[in-house]
Amino acid sequence: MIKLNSIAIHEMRGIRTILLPFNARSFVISGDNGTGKSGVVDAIEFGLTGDISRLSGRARGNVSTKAHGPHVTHRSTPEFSEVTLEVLLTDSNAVVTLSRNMKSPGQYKLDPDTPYNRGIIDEVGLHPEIVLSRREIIDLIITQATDRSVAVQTLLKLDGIDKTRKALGTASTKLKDEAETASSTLNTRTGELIRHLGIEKLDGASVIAFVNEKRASLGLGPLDSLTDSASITDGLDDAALSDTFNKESALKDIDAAQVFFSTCVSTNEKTCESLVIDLCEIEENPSLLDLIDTAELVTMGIELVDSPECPLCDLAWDDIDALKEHLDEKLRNSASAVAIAERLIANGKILAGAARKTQSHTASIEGLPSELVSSNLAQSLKDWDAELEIFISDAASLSGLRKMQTQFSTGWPTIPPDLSTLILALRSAADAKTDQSAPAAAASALGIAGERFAGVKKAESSSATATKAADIAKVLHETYLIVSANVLESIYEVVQQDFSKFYKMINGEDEEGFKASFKQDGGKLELEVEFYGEGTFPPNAYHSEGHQDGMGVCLYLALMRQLLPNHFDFAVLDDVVMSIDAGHRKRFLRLLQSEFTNTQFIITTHDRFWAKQIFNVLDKPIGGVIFTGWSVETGPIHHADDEVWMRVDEDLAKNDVSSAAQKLRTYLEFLCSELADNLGAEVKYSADGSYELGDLWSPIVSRYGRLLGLGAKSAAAFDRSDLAELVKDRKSNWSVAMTRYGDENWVINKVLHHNEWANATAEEFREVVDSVKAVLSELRCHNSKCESWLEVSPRRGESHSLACRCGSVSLNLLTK
Amino acid sequence: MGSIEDGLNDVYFDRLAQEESMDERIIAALQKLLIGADTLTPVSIVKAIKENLSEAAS
Repeated sequence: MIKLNSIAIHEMRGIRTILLPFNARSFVISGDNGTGKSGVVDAIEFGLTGDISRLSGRARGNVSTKAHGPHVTHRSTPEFSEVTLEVLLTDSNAVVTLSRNMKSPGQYKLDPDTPYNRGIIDEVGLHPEIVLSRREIIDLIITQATDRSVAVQTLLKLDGIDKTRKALGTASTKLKDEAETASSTLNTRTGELIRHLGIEKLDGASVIAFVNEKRASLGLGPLDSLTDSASITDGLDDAALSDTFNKESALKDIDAAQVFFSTCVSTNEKTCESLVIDLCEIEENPSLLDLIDTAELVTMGIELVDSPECPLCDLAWDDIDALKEHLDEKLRNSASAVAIAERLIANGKILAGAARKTQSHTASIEGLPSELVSSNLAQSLKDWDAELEIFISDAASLSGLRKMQTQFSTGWPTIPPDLSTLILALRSAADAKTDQSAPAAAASALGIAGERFAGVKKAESSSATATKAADIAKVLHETYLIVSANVLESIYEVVQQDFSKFYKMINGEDEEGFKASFKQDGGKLELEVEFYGEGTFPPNAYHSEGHQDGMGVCLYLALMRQLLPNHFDFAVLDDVVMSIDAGHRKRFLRLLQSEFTNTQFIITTHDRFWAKQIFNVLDKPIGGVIFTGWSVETGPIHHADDEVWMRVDEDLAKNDVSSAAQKLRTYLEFLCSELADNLGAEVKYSADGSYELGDLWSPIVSRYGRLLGLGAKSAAAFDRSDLAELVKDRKSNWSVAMTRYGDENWVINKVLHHNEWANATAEEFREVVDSVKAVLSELRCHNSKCESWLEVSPRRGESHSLACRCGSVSLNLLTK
Repeated sequence: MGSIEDGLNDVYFDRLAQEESMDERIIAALQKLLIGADTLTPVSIVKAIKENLSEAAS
């Protein structure tokens, strides 16, 4: 997708102003802790994505990108905080300038601003994972399986898959519930009909037999089939249908109700016991209660999230995704409590179904003629029905179930105390009612049969539709589970192969048999690794911290290769391998070099030795900067080659020789320690490891002159005219540079060595700068694509060669 | 550039199309939710299924 040519940062995090030339190459930013390296990392991330993940998202408390992204002195003037990136679009090879201001993190300026360029930048903006810090390594390796699954899914952009899986699952559960309710209603309606018909089981022949018997007694023609409810009462006039009371049917309904009411408590005893156990556990463990409450609230909150403002507490977040992630994490922490809550809801559902059945019996009694149903019974049933309605509603939620704990302990539902007596009185009254005439009884029986048959048909239709919907939702959900499991399994298979391969490239000398395996189990991603042939264990069980860091980086690289196949062009590794020893870090660099040839890595480190190792090991040209100090006023104090000369020029343009001299001296002190090491210069040993410029400059100059002499002798000894010519040119250039330097020596001594800047003019000092530049230029490769500093090899003992990194300079120093 | 999720969705809808019990209207409605402009929530999925079931019935 992209590489970075440069970054200009203004007033952001710990940085005032800095320009770093990356030149689409790998780049090392080194410096002690607290020198501003992470500020550059943050600025890169902000420039590309509009966010700084270490300031946003989960568990960041009251810290946010917008509030704390600007330099501390500009916290109330974020418009001064800006990043400008020169970005190489690797697909088109076009270069664009991308600017983003902290005042409007979500917006950016692009030049040239074309839909294609904007599309690429927008795509990059979706990939904050280009920055890897040790925090992410912990999430990938040294963590619980659930958290690892989340970290891996986030990195691979699988959050959407999880969201879809959950949404399909919830929809399937909801439709299954509806189908169960519809089925329960059908059972109730069927029960009412078969009770009326006096049959054991509902079948067409039994209904036809009952109906035709009644019709025959009324002189009506028989029915061949039951097509709809109207056919049962065909031929009956309105007067015949107006009497809805049927003594025999009424007595059956009353008896059925009495039996149901007297047994419903014992029928649901076990469900009640389970409810009470779970509710007691919640009551005895307040933290569990909090977790359940949180989960319930957060679940509602997630459904309501439609902006970066939390619907639960009104707190404004940087972006909507960070808010959702925060709420999701809260849910994950509540997993065991949620399991209890789910069991409670399931049991509540069973009792709600029983309550609906109870209501169907109360309804059948309430439908009897008013002269039979006493006012006490009517009122009692009405009140109970209202209570049951509340019960059904409460049983659907955890908070509602918790309110009913006592009721579950003493039995449910709370049957009105005098109900049994009142129903017995009702039965006596119904039984005492004068028998209907045969035609009236037949007509009312047909009317009730027709009505209940219609109820069954309607419930059948609703149940069939609900079942079909539930079946479809189940297929949608299960198919998604299968497909996503297959896809993820194949991805994890490749990732674990790459991961094992990369890890062995670093640790293969003693862990040749290393293997890693992923196991996806629901929302968990178990990772186990081979430990020296002793079996497989979690990565943090036996492996050292250094090995775990190595695993983290390797897993990250394996995942990124999956996420961005053929487009993993850029990544920031923020101090990620610090627990790995020097030897293994060297092999890690070889891994980057061989497996990620086209990836630009921006590597930060507080270890200067590691920084140097990066330069020495990576063949491809890389750049770097060293931060040597930091203050609120200045930001990082650094030594990027190009920028030092630019800053010195700026000072001289302002006639500020003092500042120019100070910058040049500081830079040369840093640089000369590197050059002395590169060339093997003989520097007088200092026990405290600190060297002044005067201690280093002369040994470097002398050493380089001697190395050229050795190179010339060797070229002559081996009859290498090409090398002899190269040495000759270099000696000539060196001579010119040193002559010029010698001419300015008095100024250099005063200004640089003794800091007597007050006596030099800007013009004089510019000559000094140019002479120093000329000397330094001779100590590096002249190939413009390389320009690396020359180095001897080996570093210890007799030097065999003097070479640059690209190979343009490769002088043998040995003679026959 | 296709994401892993895009690839998964392609496989998913291919597989659903092979399901004999699956009405193509429901697949189309779900496609709108998963890869179209409409929002995917449990409620929107339930609505899509019910609407297309009743359309199929009528």
